[in-house]
Amino acid sequence: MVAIRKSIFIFLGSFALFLALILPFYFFGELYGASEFFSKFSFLDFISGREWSLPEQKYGALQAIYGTIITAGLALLITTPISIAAAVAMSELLPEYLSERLGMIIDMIAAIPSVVVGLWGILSLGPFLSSTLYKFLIENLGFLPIFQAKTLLAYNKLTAALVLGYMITPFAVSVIKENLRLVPIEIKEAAYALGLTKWEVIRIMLSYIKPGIFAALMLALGRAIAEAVAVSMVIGNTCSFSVSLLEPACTLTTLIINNFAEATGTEAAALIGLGLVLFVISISTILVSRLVYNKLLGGYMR
Amino acid sequence: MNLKKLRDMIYTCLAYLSLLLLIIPLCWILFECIIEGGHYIINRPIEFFTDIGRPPGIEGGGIGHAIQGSLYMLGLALLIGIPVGIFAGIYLAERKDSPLAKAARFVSDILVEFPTILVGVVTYTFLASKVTGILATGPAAFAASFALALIMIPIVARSVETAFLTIPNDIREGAYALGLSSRHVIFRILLPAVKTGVVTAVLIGLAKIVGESAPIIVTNGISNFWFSKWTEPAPSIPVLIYVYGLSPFKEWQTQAWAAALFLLLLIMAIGFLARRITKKLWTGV
Repeated sequence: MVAIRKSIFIFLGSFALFLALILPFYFFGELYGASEFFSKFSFLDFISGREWSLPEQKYGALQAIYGTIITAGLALLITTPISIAAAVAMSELLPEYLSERLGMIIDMIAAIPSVVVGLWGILSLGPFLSSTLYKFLIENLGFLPIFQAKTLLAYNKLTAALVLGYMITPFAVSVIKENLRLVPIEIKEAAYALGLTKWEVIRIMLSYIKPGIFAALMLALGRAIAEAVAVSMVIGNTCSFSVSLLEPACTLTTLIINNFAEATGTEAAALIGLGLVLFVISISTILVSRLVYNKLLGGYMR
Repeated sequence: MNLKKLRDMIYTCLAYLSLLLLIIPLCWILFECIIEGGHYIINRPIEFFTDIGRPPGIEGGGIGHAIQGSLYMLGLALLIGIPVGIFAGIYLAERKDSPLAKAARFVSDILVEFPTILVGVVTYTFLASKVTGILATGPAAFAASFALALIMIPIVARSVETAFLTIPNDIREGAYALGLSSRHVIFRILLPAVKTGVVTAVLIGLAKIVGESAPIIVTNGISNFWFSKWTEPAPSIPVLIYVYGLSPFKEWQTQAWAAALFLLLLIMAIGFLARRITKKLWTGV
């Protein structure tokens, strides 16, 4: 009897062990795949190499890292005010039944596959923006380095950041909304009793859940860094260090997705090396947000 | 005082504006899908779902090959992902304080957010790559299935765990007090009690992988023919949308919208089903 009781948990435990080993397995796989590349090129040269060029056998990750940081950072900048405002509107301003319906719509946005958002970006949003917003920016604000462009392009860093921002916002909204719900009623009552207006109370609530907002936005940032297909469809896929937001770029994920299927030998190994960089960046953002979040689970979210 | 009221009003307007900013693109996407894609589907309802894609420049064609390829890929992914996810999830719930469960829970929380493209890269490296892979087939459909299964497992495991944790401890204690073995308690008592929760968990996992394209592109490459062998590239709906959307041909772009509409409806149907089942679990109706 005891033997059976134990054996079933050994059986189930082996699957849990498998689950726990997936992440080390990924890390090992990245190292293993990139090892051929790093036996020929030094990691330092790779990470600080300014150029990614196949004919010249130059494999530098810096342009891709730059593209990832700019697009993901810009997406985060777009999503921060919108997600906070939307979460406040849903949990504090709208009546219950409306905000429930809206919650379902927000979930629906989150469920749109990234390739469909990319399709919208490439066929609808990009052409629309280039004939309106981008034209306006180049003509009127073209003296600013970030809005300079030699030619008017529909697919550039700004389009990529807008598409990314739209993809990560619903997720941030639902986490911040969840946090707002957990503000103790005493705090709200005390604030109203002091004669504060609605928005002054909301500001107090927001400052109360600051760590929760931080965790939500970090998770959103992680998703923006990890996104591949939608970005590769709208970013223009030309690696450069240009400061202008209206010029194309490449990111870690777009280089991998555009070249991996046909790559062989050193190029394939170099692409896996890019994957290793992506692994480190995204794992650290996920870990930071998880640590903050887990701390909250013991704090006001208990 | 009036100034404060004005400021409150401005803030309120901005908050509603941000909601609008979220909803407008969704409506835009749905509108384009329905107008561009729906039109194509209505014009060729049978051809669209059963026929293969045409070369650019030729009218007509459908996504039948992509539907077939997706069914194969998702089928194998579910075959691997469901048992592994469920068993791991049961362990997480029934041995929740053991170090292994804690480690697995921590890892799966990270994996849910993990870049799916890297899952594809690693799967390809170990299984399909001609240099480092065990099977050395080059880009292949089975590798895509493995990658999708790996993406699905942590999600299913965590959802199954949540379902099992809703079972009151009294039931476990009662079952053990009758002298039943753990195997009986888990598979004959607890699993039937949360059957609907487990089905929901599988549906959530399926909804996550049905629209995934990055891991498929990386492991399986791109194909526009019928599914032939597991060791060869196969078509799938998300990758078809990717290829057709990037192409400069109007007919292909229209079909990309149609395929996107089909994919969206599929995901909504899965989500609806999951919600329906969960509701049944809680209210009994």
